[in-house]
Amino acid sequence: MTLPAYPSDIRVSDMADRLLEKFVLHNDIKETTRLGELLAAFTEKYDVPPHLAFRIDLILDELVTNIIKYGYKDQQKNHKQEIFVEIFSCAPDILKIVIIDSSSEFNPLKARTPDVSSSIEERPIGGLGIHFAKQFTKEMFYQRKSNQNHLTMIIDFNEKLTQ
Amino acid sequence: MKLVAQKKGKVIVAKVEGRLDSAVAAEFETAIMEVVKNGAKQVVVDFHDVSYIASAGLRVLLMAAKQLKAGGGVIALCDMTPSIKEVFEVSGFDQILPIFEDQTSAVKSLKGERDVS
Repeated sequence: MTLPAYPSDIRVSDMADRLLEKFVLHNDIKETTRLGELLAAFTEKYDVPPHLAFRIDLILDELVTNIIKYGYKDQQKNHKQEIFVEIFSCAPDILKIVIIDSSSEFNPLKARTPDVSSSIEERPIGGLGIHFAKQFTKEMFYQRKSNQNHLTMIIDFNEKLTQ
Repeated sequence: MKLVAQKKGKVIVAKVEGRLDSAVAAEFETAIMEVVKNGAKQVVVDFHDVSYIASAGLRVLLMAAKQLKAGGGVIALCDMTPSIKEVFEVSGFDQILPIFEDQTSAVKSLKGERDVS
């Protein structure tokens, strides 16, 4: 996927999408390992730069883990317990990733940001997954549709390592 | 996930291998806490063969660091890939856990610590 750079002033979320991959995951923490394998194959196939492949792996691992550990924790029987991960190409050098789950309404964008400057004794560990997602995406938005959570993230191939 | 602990003078070097994700966090916790509970005061965690870390892995390191600190010990980390280092920086963990380029400098820094045993 080596394509020319796209003007940065155009909102990516308004553009037409092409579905590249769709993964269906089950409500089981072991599925995060399978997700890692699926993503490794995906990032190799599309020549995703290694540091972005790492970030995508991290963000999806964290968010899917949250859904399994918290979202589906009290899930009623007969309820759909799947998690869908859809990856789109929506512009040159831009990926759109959507995570869909049917747990109760949860907008991660409204979650409290963890204090990443507190001391070793006071350091909280919750909320880091969402913090990573916010840091490593160009855009992120949430919608509640048909009793499902839809979290959309935009990844820009031109983003460099933060160091 | 694999963890091999090796004694280098008074410093214990824990060489970790594999992915430190939520699926192996419990295993990683057991392995590193065993090192800490065996009375180690100065621990270096070598990341040379670690390909990935998620917040579940950070949580385990934080727990080990707290336990060590409570007993007057210290922890140092070393030899991370740029992406793993980025995870520590973005989470602010690089501010609470010392990170070194390689194992030699990490061990050396701990040897310079006041002997607490």
